[in-house]
Amino acid sequence: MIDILTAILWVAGSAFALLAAVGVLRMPDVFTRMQASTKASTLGVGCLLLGTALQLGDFGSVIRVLSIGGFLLLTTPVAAHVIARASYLADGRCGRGPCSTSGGPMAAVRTRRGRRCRSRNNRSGGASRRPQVCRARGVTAGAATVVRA
Amino acid sequence: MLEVVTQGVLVTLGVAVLIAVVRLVKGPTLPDRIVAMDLIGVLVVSLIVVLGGATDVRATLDAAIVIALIAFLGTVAYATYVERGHPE
Repeated sequence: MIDILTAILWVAGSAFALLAAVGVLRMPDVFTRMQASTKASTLGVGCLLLGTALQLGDFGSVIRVLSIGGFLLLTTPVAAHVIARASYLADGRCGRGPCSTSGGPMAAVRTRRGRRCRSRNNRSGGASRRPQVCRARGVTAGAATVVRA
Repeated sequence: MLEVVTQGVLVTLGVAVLIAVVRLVKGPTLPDRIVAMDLIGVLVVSLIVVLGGATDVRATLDAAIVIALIAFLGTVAYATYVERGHPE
């Protein structure tokens, strides 16, 4: 009986984990990829952990499995939020560099690039360390184009 | 019965890791690669948990805890690196 429950939970969890990986491969944008990865992998890992807790059964293993599950449930949304924030902010700063998002349904967001860039420079006060990051973007993009050509 | 299911689950998780590696190599931007790396960390944790449950080795759960912690710290560190800006 416990074996059957474990098998069902493991098959469901691995299917959700595979769906998360397929979503990361097939989605068009960083934010949608992160959405697929975070939600599906959390559900998949939860199912796999429940199956392992049923299979092992003793007190120490169940406590360890529950601590892994609680840790992942706490840290996965935090990691997703940090990645999304970094990607959203770096998109206004890097132009067509390696940290910009390209294409996808969030393309309309990038029309506010200049305003966010200026406010960020005013807020952080890093004008002396990184002078005129926004205005030098065209030069950087041109240089990158030359290097790529 | 459980042995067959365990092998199928491990193969499925391995295929998921390979798909995430494809995104890690292809990913056009750095946040794509960070997302793929985070997913690989979670998948490795689930692989270790399934392996520990199938072979009755309790010590693998401690390794899973440590790997989950390191994957989270690595994700946060990469995201901070992207957010601060980096030389191209």
